[in-house]
Amino acid sequence: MTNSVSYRDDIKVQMWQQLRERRSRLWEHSVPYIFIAPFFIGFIAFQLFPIGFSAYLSFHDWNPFIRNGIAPQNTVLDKYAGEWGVIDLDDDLVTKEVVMKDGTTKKVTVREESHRIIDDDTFKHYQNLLKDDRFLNSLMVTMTITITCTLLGTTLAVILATLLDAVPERLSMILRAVFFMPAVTSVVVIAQIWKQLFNTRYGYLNQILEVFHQSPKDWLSSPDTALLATIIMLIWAGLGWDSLIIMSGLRNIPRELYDAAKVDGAGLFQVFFRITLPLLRPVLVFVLTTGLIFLLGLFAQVQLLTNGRPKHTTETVALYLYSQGFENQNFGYAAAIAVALALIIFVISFLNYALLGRRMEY
Amino acid sequence: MRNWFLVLVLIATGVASAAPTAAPVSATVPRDTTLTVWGFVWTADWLESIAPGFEAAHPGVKVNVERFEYEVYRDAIIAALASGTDVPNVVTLDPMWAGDLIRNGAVMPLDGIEDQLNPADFVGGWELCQDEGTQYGVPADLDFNIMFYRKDLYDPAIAEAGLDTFPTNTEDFIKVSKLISNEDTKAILLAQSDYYAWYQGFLVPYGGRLFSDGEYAFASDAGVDALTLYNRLVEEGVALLWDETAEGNPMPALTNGDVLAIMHGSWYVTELETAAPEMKGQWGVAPMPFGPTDRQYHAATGGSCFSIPVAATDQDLATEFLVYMEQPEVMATYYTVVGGVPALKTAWDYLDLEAVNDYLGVPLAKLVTEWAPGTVGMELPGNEMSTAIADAIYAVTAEGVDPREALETAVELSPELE
Repeated sequence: MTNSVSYRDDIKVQMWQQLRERRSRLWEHSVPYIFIAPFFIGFIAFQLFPIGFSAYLSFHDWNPFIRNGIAPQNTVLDKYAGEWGVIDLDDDLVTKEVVMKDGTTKKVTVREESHRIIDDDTFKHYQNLLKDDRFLNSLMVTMTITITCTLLGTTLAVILATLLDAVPERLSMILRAVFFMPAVTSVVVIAQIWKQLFNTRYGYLNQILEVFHQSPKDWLSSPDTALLATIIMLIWAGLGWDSLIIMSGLRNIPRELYDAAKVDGAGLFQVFFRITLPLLRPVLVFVLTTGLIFLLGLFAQVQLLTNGRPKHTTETVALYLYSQGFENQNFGYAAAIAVALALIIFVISFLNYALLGRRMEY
Repeated sequence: MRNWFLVLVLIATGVASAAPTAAPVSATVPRDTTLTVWGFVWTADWLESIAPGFEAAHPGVKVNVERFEYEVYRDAIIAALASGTDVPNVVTLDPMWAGDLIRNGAVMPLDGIEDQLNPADFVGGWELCQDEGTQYGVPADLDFNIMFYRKDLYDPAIAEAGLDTFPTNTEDFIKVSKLISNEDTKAILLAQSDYYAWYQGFLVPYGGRLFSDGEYAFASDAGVDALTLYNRLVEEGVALLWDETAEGNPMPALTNGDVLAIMHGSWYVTELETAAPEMKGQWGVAPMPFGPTDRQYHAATGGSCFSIPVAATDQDLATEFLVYMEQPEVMATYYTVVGGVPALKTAWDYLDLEAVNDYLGVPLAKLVTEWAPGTVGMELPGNEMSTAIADAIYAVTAEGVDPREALETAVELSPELE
């Protein structure tokens, strides 16, 4: 009897020990997740959920102003009802074929008594995107800005970083601070400064042109020069930041490689293209990728400088998205533009990494 | 244990006896409520000045005026009304973008407001706050474009042209302006791609409209004539086309003498006075001269509308606030605080209309009230439509497109009407 009792006690002790060990392991495994949980809670609430909701909205016409039972009856609100903001009317919903204004027939959901149509065309916004000249124009503008600023901007940043690396350290420190200043300057300030510089009648750039007997340009009000002016401002604003990152990459390249190249009689260009550039590749991929993501979603700088004018020649996709959402109050269509932009950014970033990011040399 | 139970019962009894009991509703019982009113810059100034009067008449009601900068105001309104939380009780709406909000059902129709306010007491502004015959707001001031002109330079040219007063029709204006325009100096500034300026000062005087019988009407003969004239002023070398987005505030052009006249509401005198105090006495004002000689209106009037969001609480109290605003003695203060002449005619009795504006040297308020009958409340545009018209203006003035073709393109680009 005594033996069986002590055996049972032993089992109990063992079980408690195992339980404590499991809890301890569970706690050890959980601690990192607990530390990163605040970020993910915020990410889910303020980024993932809005992204998902936007994607959902993009398949509907959404009127956020409708409140159940409160919407006034003398406005045609069902055009925007969708599924999210359905008015709680007593009408039954039926699906029927309706003759539209242009003579085509369409299967729609209709409130039977009021005969108001709820649009059932799920992919309408995406179909309209492909036919929307203003969207296609904004895409062209965005791509032009992105390609030009990325290629030209990164090239200039590499040259600047190389020069900054070559000058004495004290001078390099001062120049680095000077070139980095735009990165820590407010976007609003930068846009206002460039607006003053580009001013047709009173701007410094035109006054400089006059000194060289050139005719002044309508920098921001001519479709021929407005986009160029925007690109100039963007390259200037991003040069310091990119060159600083590239410079850190340059300083990570082992000096012995340059010494060895020197011994082998390699020239400047050979050293640059055979040693510097290949070993700078990881940094360049980073700069290019972050630059692409930033430029594809460009909004504030363009809105402040030109607001998409003249005649949409500087209107980026993000600016058009804002116009559709907040100016025209077409929230569903704006959501579709946002989804399309996100997909474009994803594809281009992926291609960028796939083409340039692999086989990196270290 | 029993003692603790008795203590808890005693505490609970004490708390219950201290709790307020329901009392019958009485008109004399003050309502502890806050009425939130949104305004931008100058309208917020005025709302803050009249809030104490409403609070005094409604014990227990606190009027909370929230002020915004103009540039971000529309976005703030849309975000608040869309979210449905912390929705203000009364909002100020700009007619440039109020139309879309109204048509999307964000603003409450003011059914029965005519029983409390007499539309006949208003000049132009009452129609401003309507859509398809339904009233959605009450107006603030008369904001129709008048001509601010450099009278020290215009007056000799007017005399040389054989006229007694500032030109009152298109041909006389062109005749006078050619006398004072040259390569470096232009008689008038026209805003590039500015739907508002074109609509107010050109389309309406030509008898044109945005909508008629459920269709877009701005591509009519009147619209074509209005756009043709807009371009003609540029082509004849008397107008400077100014792109405010690209070039910024045109005040330097006015103070430098690059341009000698500008179209704006009467409130612009405060801008001139602030930016160019040294030019005191050099500026004159006159009604807009464009359009046929027998035109019914010389301009459309804009201004602000005060409205109630559909999602607002205390809508009855908000309506009381709107009615309070439009009491003559209250609305008269809009002139003293903001400088805008009220759209409410009965408020004019409380203004010293003979008071001479120190900067201009004329009784500006009196002139505005005399010119007001020659205006009509502007129709509320949709944003897509106004953008399409702005593009048409650009196409004609900068790209040489035919005005009719440009306006017809604008109609095609505008959203389908219900």
